[in-house]
Parts: sequence; C-alpha cells; structure tokens
Amino acid sequence: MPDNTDHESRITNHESRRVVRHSLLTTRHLLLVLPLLFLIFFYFYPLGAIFRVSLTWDGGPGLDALLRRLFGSTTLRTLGFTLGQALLSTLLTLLLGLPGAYVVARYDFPGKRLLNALTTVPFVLPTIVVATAFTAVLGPKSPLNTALMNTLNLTRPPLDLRYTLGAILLAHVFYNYTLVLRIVGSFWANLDPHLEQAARTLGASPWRAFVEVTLPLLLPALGAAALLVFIFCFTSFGVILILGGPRFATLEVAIYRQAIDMGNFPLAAGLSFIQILCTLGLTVVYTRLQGRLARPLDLRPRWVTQRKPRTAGEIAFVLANVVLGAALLGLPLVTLAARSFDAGLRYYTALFENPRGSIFYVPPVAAVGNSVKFALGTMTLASLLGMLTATALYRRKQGWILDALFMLPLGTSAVTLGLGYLLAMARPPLALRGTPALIVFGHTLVALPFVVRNVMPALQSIRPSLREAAATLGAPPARVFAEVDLPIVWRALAIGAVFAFTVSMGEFGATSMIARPELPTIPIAICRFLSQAGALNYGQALAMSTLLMAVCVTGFVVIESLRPPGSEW
Amino acid sequence: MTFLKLIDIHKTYEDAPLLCGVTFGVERGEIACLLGPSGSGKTTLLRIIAGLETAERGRVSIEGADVTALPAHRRGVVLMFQDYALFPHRTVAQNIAFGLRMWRHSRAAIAARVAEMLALTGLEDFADRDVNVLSGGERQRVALARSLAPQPRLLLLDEPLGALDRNLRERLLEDLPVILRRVGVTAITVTHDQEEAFALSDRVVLLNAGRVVQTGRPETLYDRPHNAWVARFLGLENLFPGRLRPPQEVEVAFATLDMPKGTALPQTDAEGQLLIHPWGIHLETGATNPFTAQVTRRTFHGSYFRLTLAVDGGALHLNVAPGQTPPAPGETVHGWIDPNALRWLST
Repeated sequence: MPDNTDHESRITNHESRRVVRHSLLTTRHLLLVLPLLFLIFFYFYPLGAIFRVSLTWDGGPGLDALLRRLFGSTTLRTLGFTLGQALLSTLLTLLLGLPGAYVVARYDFPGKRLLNALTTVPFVLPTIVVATAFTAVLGPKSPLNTALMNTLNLTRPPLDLRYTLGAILLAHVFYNYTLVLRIVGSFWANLDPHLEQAARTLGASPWRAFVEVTLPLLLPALGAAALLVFIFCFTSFGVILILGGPRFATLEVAIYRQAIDMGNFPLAAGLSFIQILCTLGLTVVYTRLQGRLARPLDLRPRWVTQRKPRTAGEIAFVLANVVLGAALLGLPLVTLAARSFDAGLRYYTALFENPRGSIFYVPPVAAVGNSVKFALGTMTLASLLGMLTATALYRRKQGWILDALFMLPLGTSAVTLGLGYLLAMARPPLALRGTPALIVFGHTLVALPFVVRNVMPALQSIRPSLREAAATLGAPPARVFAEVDLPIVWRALAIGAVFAFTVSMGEFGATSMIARPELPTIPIAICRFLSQAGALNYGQALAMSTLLMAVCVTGFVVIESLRPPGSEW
Repeated sequence: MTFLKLIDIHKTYEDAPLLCGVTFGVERGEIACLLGPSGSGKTTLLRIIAGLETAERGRVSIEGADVTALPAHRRGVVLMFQDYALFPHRTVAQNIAFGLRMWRHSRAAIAARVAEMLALTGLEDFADRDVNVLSGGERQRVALARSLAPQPRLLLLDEPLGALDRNLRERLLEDLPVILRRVGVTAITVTHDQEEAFALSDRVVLLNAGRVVQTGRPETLYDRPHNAWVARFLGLENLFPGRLRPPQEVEVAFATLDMPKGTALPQTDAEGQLLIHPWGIHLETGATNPFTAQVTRRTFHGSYFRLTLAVDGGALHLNVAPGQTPPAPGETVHGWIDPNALRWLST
C-alpha cells in the first residue's frame, strides 16, 4: 500500500513539472524580448559603430591604415603604460590584500562584521569621489603636509604626490584591496583547514604546507581576483584623469582626450577597438584559467574554519591588517569630508551661486537635481529589465550563453560605451545624442549586470517544489511568480535597484562623453571644478564629492540593511 | 618505558574547561582508543598529541623525550582526519608520497614506499586516480596509506570509520586493525562508538567531561565498569540502586541478591548501584537469587529476541536466542540470577 501511494504521487509530481516547464518556456522567451532589444540598440549597435569607424578609416576598409596609425609610437607608449600600471596595481593589491584575506578567512575578532560591511564601501563609491579624496590626502594642503610644516617650521608643503604614478597606484589599491579581500577571503574562509593540518602532521613546515597545499587550492580565487583587478585597472579612467594629470594616459583616457579634446573620432575609435580586444582577450584567459584550475573542494562552514587570535603574534598580525584596511578605506574619505569644511560652509553655499563667467550655465547645485533624475530613471529601467532578464535566464542550463551576453557590458569600459553612443546616436535611426534619455540608457546598461547578478541567485535559491506546489494548488504561471517568486526575491531586487541608483549617481566615463555642457551630473561638475584653478573651485569639488559620497554611503547602508543577516553578495 | 606519556593536560575552550588534568600512557606497538561522548575533549586531546593545538598546562612526551614545544611537522606523529583531508589537487599516489617528500626521502625510496602502501591497502590500480572521484571507502584507504607511508612513530586516527556508511564500516572494522597490526605502528584512535572502540583497540581510555574515567582492556572495561556512568555509556542497562548487606548480599527493590563468593566488597552498610550483566539472567526456576517478573516488551532482532521484564524498582533487559520460544508480553516469568553476573558499583 505505501508503495502504491508513493508511485502515484511521483506520477503527479512528474506531470505537473512538465506542465509548468512547458508553459514557462514560452513565457520566458517573451520576457527576453525587451532586454534583448535594449542590448542590441544600446550595446551592440554602438559597438558596431566603433568597429565601423575604426575599420573605414581614410574612407575605405583601411585595416592597414588603422594598424599604421594605431601602432605609432604614442599609441604604443599609451598601451605600455596602461598595461604597466595595471600590472603594478594588481601586484601591489595582491601583496597587501593576501594577508588581509587570510585574516578575514581564518580569524574571528571583535569588529569583524563592521569591517566586512565597510569593505562594501568602495563598490558603491564613484571613482570621481575616490580620486578627489586622494587629491585631498596627497595634495599640498593635506593634513600630513600641514602637520609637517608646523613641526618642521617649513614655509612650503614638502609633499605633493598628485600627478604621480604613486597616487594612481594608491587609488587603485584602495578600490581593489577589498575585492581581493572578498574573493580570496571568502574562498579561503571555506577551505578545509584540515588539509593544511594534515600536511603539517605529515612533516610539512607551516610555510611548506602553505606552498604545497593552500596556495595551489587558492589559485582559482587568486587568479580570478588578480584578473578582475587587472581588468579594472586596465580600463581605469577617473582615477588616471584626475590623479595622473596630463602626464599620464591609459587607453581609456586617451580615447576620451582624442574624442573630446581633439575631436579625432577615428583614432578614438581605433583605440577603443584595441581596448575591446584586450579586455575580451583577458576575459577569455580568465574563463579558461578558471576552468583549468577549479577543483572540486569540500567547502566547510565558517565556524569550523575560524577561530579567535590567541598568541600575541596572532593578535598583532590581525590588528596590523585591520588597521591597514581601516586606514586605507577610511583615511581618504574622512580627509575628504573634513577638508570640504575647511572654509566653514563656504564651499557648500558656493554651490548655489551662478556667478558671471562661471564654468556652468546653471548654479552648480543643479547638477545634483540632474543626477537624481537620471538615477531614478536608471533605477526604474534597470530594475525592470534586470528582473525580466533574471526571470528568463535563472535556469543556467538553458541560458548560459545569454547569461554571458548580459554580463558583457561589465567587461566593456564606460568611455568606450560613451564613444559608441557619440558615433552611433548622431543620426537616425537612433538620433538620441545630447538627449537626457541617452544618459539614462547608458547608465542602465552599466547597472543592468548588477541587478541581474543580485536577482538571479535569489531566483535560483527558490526550490522548484515551491513553484510546483503553487501550480498544483491551481496558480497559473503569472500568479506563481507573484505569489512565490516575488515575495522571495524582492529584497534582492531592491538591493539591485539601489545599486543601479548609486551606479548612475557616480557614473563618470560614459557620461563625460555624452552629457551636454548645460546638463551636468555631479561627477561631471566635480571634474570641471577640479580642472579650474583656485581654492574656491577646489573647495566646491570637495563639497560636491562629499555630497555624492553621502548619497552613496546612504545607498550602502540601505543595501546592508536589506541584505539578510549572514549573507554575502 | 612508556612510549607516549600525557601528563596532566589542561585545556580550555572559550573560557570553558575542555580537558582537566588528563594523564595516560600508551605502550609501543599498542593500539589505544580514546572513547567518550561528543564534547568529552577526545579530538582536542588527539590534536594536542599531534601538535596542532597547545595545552595550557601539562606535558607530552614520546620515547622519553618531551615534545610539548615541538611543532607538528617535527613530531613524526601523523593525524588521519575524520574527513580524510585528501589533497584535492593531487593524485592518489601523490597524496601517499606527500609525507615522504616532506621527510626528504629519495625519489627511488618514495616510489618503492608508495607502491608498498598501495599494495598494503589494496589500491594498486588507483595510483594515478584523481582523489575527487573515489568512493568513501577508497578515500579512507588512501588516507590510511598516506598516513602510514612516512612510517610515523605514532599514528592518530580521528573517528576513522565515522564518515562511512554502515556496511562498509562493518567490513573496515575488521580490516583496519589487521592492517595496523601488520605494520606494527603505535596508534591512537578516537571514537564515540563503543563497539568500534572494542573491535579496534588493545586498550580503551574512557573520557568524560575532560577527565579520564577508566582505562583498561576492552573486555575488562565492559565486565567491570568503575561506575554507573561508565556502565550506561557502554550500553549496560540493568542498573538498580541498592544497599550492601555485609558480608555477601545486596538489597535491591525487587530482591536481596547473593554476590559472587570471593569478591571484595566494602564491609560497610553502603549505598550504591548494582549492575546485572544480562548474560546472568536465566528464565527458569532456580534456587539462587530467584525473581518473578512480568514481560512488558519483546522485539525481534534477527539473531536474538530482546526482552524487557518489569520488576519492582525498574526493568531487566536481556537477549534470548531465537531457538527457544520466549515468553510474550503480559506473561509472568520466574527466573534466577547468576551471582557471577553481579557487579557492585559504589557511588
């Protein structure tokens, strides 16, 4: 008798699953129409324009001409610098980040949760804010210089590290230190400590056990982190433009200068072409490396792998890394905020004035209004498209190619995207150049992967039996979505939406290419203030950056409070 | 000279005492077993012997030399983990060779020793296999081969059969001591399962709440538990509060029973527990220690029936071979208890 019931229920189960899957399949395809159209018009079409312009240089299919011009000495030097600084930044970040990752992975200490939460901050902070913050830390009027001048009785500030390679590297380490901490640290945290201990009892010294066992197992995570850091630094824009000054140019900065300052669109397109090839190549290397290195690991829960530091040496090591991380993350931001009040509230009140001969056509504070409008638009559009995409694709087997397709914008630099818009949107069919809508579309494209990445795992975490139960209880697919999926994924969607908002608020690369002068966003305004001489201009840049930082940190607090306790993203 | 000595080991975990003055020794070539409920500190003790944890107080010595401060990799003490901790980035043979490489054996010596270990554990065809595709039993054998390869002075096995399913466990319960004895290694295993402890070891060290409660040969431990906790932990159920009636009698709720002749009992009117080994309970009328009881439960276990008899002050449990038809629940039975099956446990 029990056998019989079991058999029957199995049949029902099987049949219901088939019915659900069948009906969802067609709906799924329909869901993708809108996101795919968006991707085609606002990603592939502009990229196509870049290819077209760079390949039809000198009026014909001029691959030769392209190569000749591109591999002139200036371009080669730019490419060399781009690669070199990315490599140096990556090495430096790994060097500083690895001990931190170890501490995060293996030790449990007071304040760890707070530190963990703080490591999210760089992810939501716009590059323009970070770059400005570093000018405040490294420039002539930095607190360090003031202190040195007071103690040593100097008349001139001894240190000005702006416009040096060191400043660029430091800002890159700021950004990517937490990336290493997160990727390597979280992998390490789940690595079975018994492996290393087994090696120890078999006669391996601590160092030998690390080299023979832990390091090889960490390689996929290390490789992933290193490559991501490298790609980020390779396409670095705001940091180089502001901290590097005129002396330094990465490909990204060169594209911007050629297009905006020189109006040399063919060369800009050619440089973009190289950039796209490079990032594409790096991504291919990345996936191949990961495929080869990944090993099936028995991952352990963290309470098994972590303990409190006990000996004096351990406590000192943990403390040193915590202080390093906190100083690296906190110092620039605190200095930025503090120095924005150097003249009382003067820098802030100046934002509301529109003096004659201003670099703006409107009071600077109007940029805040523009940014908020763009961000709200981006948030709405990205959430809608992201939800549609994730719902259509969350079953990996059916959708991994499409999945990769929707992640592509992540690997394409913002300036390249902006250049594509400049080239493609100047004339019909999509004559959107100079319209506010185009900015929203550009920001949405950048923000979309964040939404998809947040919502997809949440959808995947829903056991199919929940939906099947709802279906067998009489819920049609749309109803299943509304009653089962939505209540479970709304947090993830909200996090994605806030991400989209902050991404839009801080987006600089693409916006700097396509924003009309009289319609500046906050980052554009900051950049213009920084490019002008005078203490009041610099002060206003600090004030504006502090405002933007406040918005992004608020977004970060919202994200943290939305995230279920104990979860990571 | 005692091969391994632990003297007065103390350890706290998060401010709670975990080990409180553990002292015991293991002889060369002996297979000892640390037995105790979970949380009794046995795995921590094993890790202290291996050098992976340090005790707050106390000393560990091997072959007369104090190794308390010696780091794990210089002790020549190999720990085989419950989860085996096989290196996932190395093949079976590379896993086995690991310790030999650490101890700087020559290439030729490593190859020979690996082959020997593969043969010992019946893994000849597995040398170049990826350890990630092995079954649980195969993984266990690789772990054992890897641990034995560098010829450790002392082998520590943490729940060596804990990760296996029941059938495999029963088979390996017979294989493991055979392999260990063939190699002649001194070994300490840790388990919470008394059956495993009895089958594997020459000597059992019973731990509870961070203290050694009793040590001895498995059969001695089972026959003469020191106290009621030990008896209960070993699965002995027939325990009755009682009072000594010198010289040779014990009074319990359902009878006054003769103790075996020649046992040295404390000659005072003391309270304690009486343990009745089930093999001494006979369900037929007899003159010595007679009793009357009612059958409350009878369950069939394949090779035996298990009976529960209600008596004043508790229940008697015993196993009956299925050849005879055992009484059914509700029936009243008369029986007698062999004095040799009685043990007096003072409190």
